[in-house]
Amino acid sequence: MLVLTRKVGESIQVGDDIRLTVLSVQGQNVKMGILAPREIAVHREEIYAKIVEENRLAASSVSLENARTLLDIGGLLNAEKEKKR
Amino acid sequence: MIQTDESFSKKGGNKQVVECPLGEIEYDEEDALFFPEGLYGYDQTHRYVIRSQKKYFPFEWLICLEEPTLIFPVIDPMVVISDYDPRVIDVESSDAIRVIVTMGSSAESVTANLRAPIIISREKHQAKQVILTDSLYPLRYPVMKQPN
Repeated sequence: MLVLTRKVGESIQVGDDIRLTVLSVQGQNVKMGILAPREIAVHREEIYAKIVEENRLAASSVSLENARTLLDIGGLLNAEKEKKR
Repeated sequence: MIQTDESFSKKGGNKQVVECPLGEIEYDEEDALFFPEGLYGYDQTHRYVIRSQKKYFPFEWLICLEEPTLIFPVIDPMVVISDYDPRVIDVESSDAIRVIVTMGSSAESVTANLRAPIIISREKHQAKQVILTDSLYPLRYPVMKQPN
Protein backbone atom coordinates (compact mmCIF):
# COMPACT_ATOMS: atom_id res chain seq x y z
CA MET A 1 0.00 0.00 0.00
CA LEU A 2 1.24 3.44 -0.90
CA VAL A 3 1.27 5.68 2.18
CA LEU A 4 1.22 9.46 1.81
CA THR A 5 0.99 12.13 4.49
CA ARG A 6 -1.30 15.09 3.79
CA LYS A 7 -2.33 18.23 5.66
CA VAL A 8 -5.87 19.58 5.79
CA GLY A 9 -6.64 21.20 2.45
CA GLU A 10 -4.10 19.11 0.57
CA SER A 11 -5.05 16.56 -2.06
CA ILE A 12 -4.02 13.33 -3.66
CA GLN A 13 -4.40 13.00 -7.40
CA VAL A 14 -5.24 9.53 -8.71
CA GLY A 15 -4.78 9.27 -12.46
CA ASP A 16 -5.99 12.24 -14.52
CA ASP A 17 -9.53 12.43 -13.21
CA ILE A 18 -9.68 11.59 -9.52
CA ARG A 19 -8.76 13.91 -6.69
CA LEU A 20 -9.11 13.17 -2.98
CA THR A 21 -8.89 16.14 -0.64
CA VAL A 22 -8.59 16.12 3.14
CA LEU A 23 -11.23 18.66 4.23
CA SER A 24 -10.96 18.42 7.98
CA VAL A 25 -9.67 16.25 10.79
CA GLN A 26 -11.47 16.05 14.12
CA GLY A 27 -10.14 13.44 16.47
CA GLN A 28 -10.63 10.07 14.75
CA ASN A 29 -12.78 11.52 11.96
CA VAL A 30 -11.28 12.56 8.66
CA LYS A 31 -13.59 14.34 6.24
CA MET A 32 -12.65 13.69 2.63
CA GLY A 33 -13.75 15.41 -0.53
CA ILE A 34 -13.76 13.29 -3.66
CA LEU A 35 -13.75 14.60 -7.19
CA ALA A 36 -14.26 11.89 -9.77
CA PRO A 37 -16.02 11.44 -13.11
CA ARG A 38 -19.66 10.40 -12.74
CA GLU A 39 -19.06 6.96 -14.19
CA ILE A 40 -16.66 6.17 -11.34
CA ALA A 41 -18.64 4.77 -8.41
CA VAL A 42 -17.40 5.98 -5.04
CA HIS A 43 -18.54 4.20 -1.89
CA ARG A 44 -17.71 3.85 1.75
CA GLU A 45 -15.76 0.61 1.81
CA GLU A 46 -17.94 -1.16 4.39
CA ILE A 47 -21.14 -0.42 2.44
CA TYR A 48 -19.57 -1.66 -0.78
CA ALA A 49 -18.49 -4.85 1.02
CA LYS A 50 -22.00 -5.40 2.39
CA ILE A 51 -23.57 -5.08 -1.06
CA VAL A 52 -21.10 -7.59 -2.51
CA GLU A 53 -21.86 -9.96 0.36
CA GLU A 54 -25.63 -9.56 -0.05
CA ASN A 55 -25.41 -10.23 -3.81
CA ARG A 56 -23.48 -13.43 -3.08
CA LEU A 57 -26.00 -14.42 -0.45
CA ALA A 58 -28.89 -13.78 -2.85
CA ALA A 59 -27.28 -15.85 -5.61
CA SER A 60 -26.55 -18.73 -3.24
CA SER A 61 -30.08 -18.59 -1.78
CA VAL A 62 -31.57 -19.88 -5.04
CA SER A 63 -32.84 -23.39 -4.47
CA LEU A 64 -35.99 -25.30 -5.27
CA GLU A 65 -36.77 -25.48 -1.56
CA ASN A 66 -36.52 -21.71 -1.10
CA ALA A 67 -38.46 -21.22 -4.33
CA ARG A 68 -41.43 -22.79 -2.55
CA THR A 69 -41.38 -19.93 -0.03
CA LEU A 70 -41.52 -17.49 -2.93
CA LEU A 71 -44.56 -19.30 -4.29
CA ASP A 72 -46.40 -18.72 -1.01
CA ILE A 73 -45.33 -15.10 -0.64
CA GLY A 74 -45.97 -14.36 -4.31
CA GLY A 75 -49.59 -15.39 -3.86
CA LEU A 76 -49.95 -13.18 -0.77
CA LEU A 77 -48.32 -10.19 -2.47
CA ASN A 78 -50.56 -10.56 -5.49
CA ALA A 79 -53.63 -10.81 -3.26
CA GLU A 80 -52.51 -7.66 -1.42
CA LYS A 81 -52.15 -5.84 -4.71
CA GLU A 82 -55.61 -6.93 -5.82
CA LYS A 83 -57.09 -5.60 -2.58
CA LYS A 84 -55.56 -2.18 -3.14
CA ARG A 85 -57.11 -1.89 -6.58
CA MET B 1 -40.74 -25.01 -21.31
CA ILE B 2 -41.26 -22.29 -18.78
CA GLN B 3 -43.91 -19.74 -19.61
CA THR B 4 -42.66 -16.22 -19.40
CA ASP B 5 -44.45 -12.93 -19.49
CA GLU B 6 -43.85 -10.24 -22.03
CA SER B 7 -42.82 -7.29 -19.92
CA PHE B 8 -39.21 -7.42 -21.01
CA SER B 9 -39.89 -8.90 -24.41
CA LYS B 10 -40.20 -7.61 -27.88
CA LYS B 11 -41.99 -9.49 -30.61
CA GLY B 12 -39.98 -11.44 -33.09
CA GLY B 13 -36.25 -11.66 -32.80
CA ASN B 14 -34.05 -14.57 -32.14
CA LYS B 15 -35.29 -17.22 -29.69
CA GLN B 16 -32.66 -18.75 -27.47
CA VAL B 17 -32.81 -21.24 -24.65
CA VAL B 18 -30.72 -21.09 -21.51
CA GLU B 19 -30.38 -24.12 -19.25
CA CYS B 20 -30.41 -23.02 -15.62
CA PRO B 21 -31.17 -24.64 -12.25
CA LEU B 22 -34.82 -23.69 -12.71
CA GLY B 23 -35.06 -25.61 -15.96
CA GLU B 24 -34.91 -24.50 -19.56
CA ILE B 25 -35.78 -20.88 -19.96
CA GLU B 26 -36.51 -19.39 -23.33
CA TYR B 27 -35.49 -15.86 -24.06
CA ASP B 28 -35.15 -13.58 -26.99
CA GLU B 29 -31.68 -12.44 -27.97
CA GLU B 30 -33.14 -8.92 -28.09
CA ASP B 31 -34.16 -9.13 -24.43
CA ALA B 32 -30.60 -9.61 -23.23
CA LEU B 33 -29.49 -6.82 -20.93
CA PHE B 34 -25.91 -5.62 -20.91
CA PHE B 35 -24.40 -4.69 -17.54
CA PRO B 36 -21.24 -2.77 -18.48
CA GLU B 37 -19.97 -3.02 -14.90
CA GLY B 38 -21.53 -6.34 -13.99
CA LEU B 39 -23.09 -6.68 -10.55
CA TYR B 40 -21.27 -5.95 -7.31
CA GLY B 41 -19.10 -8.97 -6.57
CA TYR B 42 -19.70 -10.22 -10.12
CA ASP B 43 -17.94 -7.61 -12.20
CA GLN B 44 -16.88 -10.13 -14.85
CA THR B 45 -20.49 -10.93 -15.79
CA HIS B 46 -22.17 -8.63 -18.27
CA ARG B 47 -25.01 -10.35 -20.13
CA TYR B 48 -28.22 -11.12 -18.28
CA VAL B 49 -31.86 -11.64 -19.03
CA ILE B 50 -34.86 -11.10 -16.76
CA ARG B 51 -37.50 -13.78 -16.94
CA SER B 52 -40.83 -14.17 -15.18
CA GLN B 53 -42.54 -17.41 -14.41
CA LYS B 54 -46.23 -17.01 -13.78
CA LYS B 55 -46.31 -19.10 -10.62
CA TYR B 56 -43.55 -17.10 -8.93
CA PHE B 57 -44.83 -13.68 -9.95
CA PRO B 58 -44.19 -10.93 -8.73
CA PHE B 59 -40.77 -12.52 -8.21
CA GLU B 60 -38.68 -12.76 -11.36
CA TRP B 61 -35.29 -14.20 -12.25
CA LEU B 62 -32.22 -12.31 -13.34
CA ILE B 63 -30.23 -14.97 -15.18
CA CYS B 64 -26.62 -14.59 -16.20
CA LEU B 65 -26.25 -15.74 -19.82
CA GLU B 66 -22.51 -16.22 -19.48
CA GLU B 67 -22.90 -18.38 -16.41
CA PRO B 68 -26.43 -19.80 -16.24
CA THR B 69 -25.92 -21.27 -12.77
CA LEU B 70 -25.82 -17.66 -11.60
CA ILE B 71 -29.37 -16.51 -10.90
CA PHE B 72 -30.70 -13.70 -8.78
CA PRO B 73 -34.32 -13.54 -7.68
CA VAL B 74 -35.55 -10.00 -8.27
CA ILE B 75 -38.74 -8.06 -7.67
CA ASP B 76 -40.23 -4.72 -8.63
CA PRO B 77 -39.54 -2.68 -5.47
CA MET B 78 -42.90 -0.91 -5.83
CA VAL B 79 -44.53 -4.22 -4.94
CA VAL B 80 -42.62 -4.17 -1.65
CA ILE B 81 -42.86 -0.43 -0.89
CA SER B 82 -45.37 1.31 -3.11
CA ASP B 83 -43.64 4.70 -2.87
CA TYR B 84 -40.08 3.43 -3.28
CA ASP B 85 -38.01 6.28 -4.65
CA PRO B 86 -34.28 5.61 -4.89
CA ARG B 87 -33.57 9.16 -6.16
CA VAL B 88 -30.96 8.00 -8.58
CA ILE B 89 -29.82 10.62 -11.03
CA ASP B 90 -29.98 9.78 -14.73
CA VAL B 91 -33.07 7.59 -14.42
CA GLU B 92 -35.39 7.92 -17.42
CA SER B 93 -39.13 7.57 -16.97
CA SER B 94 -39.05 4.53 -19.25
CA ASP B 95 -36.46 2.80 -17.08
CA ALA B 96 -37.46 -0.16 -14.95
CA ILE B 97 -36.20 -0.82 -11.47
CA ARG B 98 -35.69 -4.21 -9.87
CA VAL B 99 -34.18 -5.13 -6.53
CA ILE B 100 -32.40 -8.36 -5.67
CA VAL B 101 -34.18 -10.73 -3.33
CA THR B 102 -32.44 -13.02 -0.87
CA MET B 103 -34.52 -16.15 -0.51
CA GLY B 104 -35.08 -18.10 2.67
CA SER B 105 -36.93 -21.10 3.98
CA SER B 106 -39.57 -19.02 5.77
CA ALA B 107 -41.66 -16.09 4.57
CA GLU B 108 -40.10 -13.76 7.16
CA SER B 109 -36.59 -14.56 6.02
CA VAL B 110 -37.14 -13.39 2.44
CA THR B 111 -35.64 -9.92 2.04
CA ALA B 112 -35.24 -7.37 -0.72
CA ASN B 113 -32.09 -5.29 -1.12
CA LEU B 114 -33.60 -1.81 -1.35
CA ARG B 115 -30.17 -0.25 -0.87
CA ALA B 116 -28.71 -1.39 -4.18
CA PRO B 117 -31.39 -1.34 -6.89
CA ILE B 118 -30.85 -2.34 -10.50
CA ILE B 119 -31.78 0.36 -12.99
CA ILE B 120 -32.73 -1.03 -16.38
CA SER B 121 -32.83 1.00 -19.56
CA ARG B 122 -35.24 -0.86 -21.82
CA GLU B 123 -34.36 1.39 -24.71
CA LYS B 124 -30.63 0.81 -24.50
CA HIS B 125 -30.90 -2.77 -23.23
CA GLN B 126 -28.45 -1.80 -20.54
CA ALA B 127 -28.62 -2.12 -16.80
CA LYS B 128 -26.65 -1.12 -13.77
CA GLN B 129 -26.72 -1.89 -10.08
CA VAL B 130 -26.34 1.27 -8.02
CA ILE B 131 -25.58 1.71 -4.33
CA LEU B 132 -27.67 4.44 -2.74
CA THR B 133 -25.03 6.39 -0.84
CA ASP B 134 -27.06 8.36 1.64
CA SER B 135 -30.28 6.46 1.88
CA LEU B 136 -32.29 4.97 4.68
CA TYR B 137 -33.47 2.11 2.49
CA PRO B 138 -32.13 -1.07 4.05
CA LEU B 139 -30.04 -3.86 2.60
CA ARG B 140 -32.42 -6.47 3.97
CA TYR B 141 -36.02 -5.36 3.89
CA PRO B 142 -38.46 -8.14 4.74
CA VAL B 143 -40.67 -8.57 1.70
CA MET B 144 -43.65 -9.51 3.83
CA LYS B 145 -43.51 -6.43 6.03
CA GLN B 146 -46.68 -4.54 5.39
CA PRO B 147 -46.80 -0.86 6.33
CA ASN B 148 -49.75 -0.01 8.54
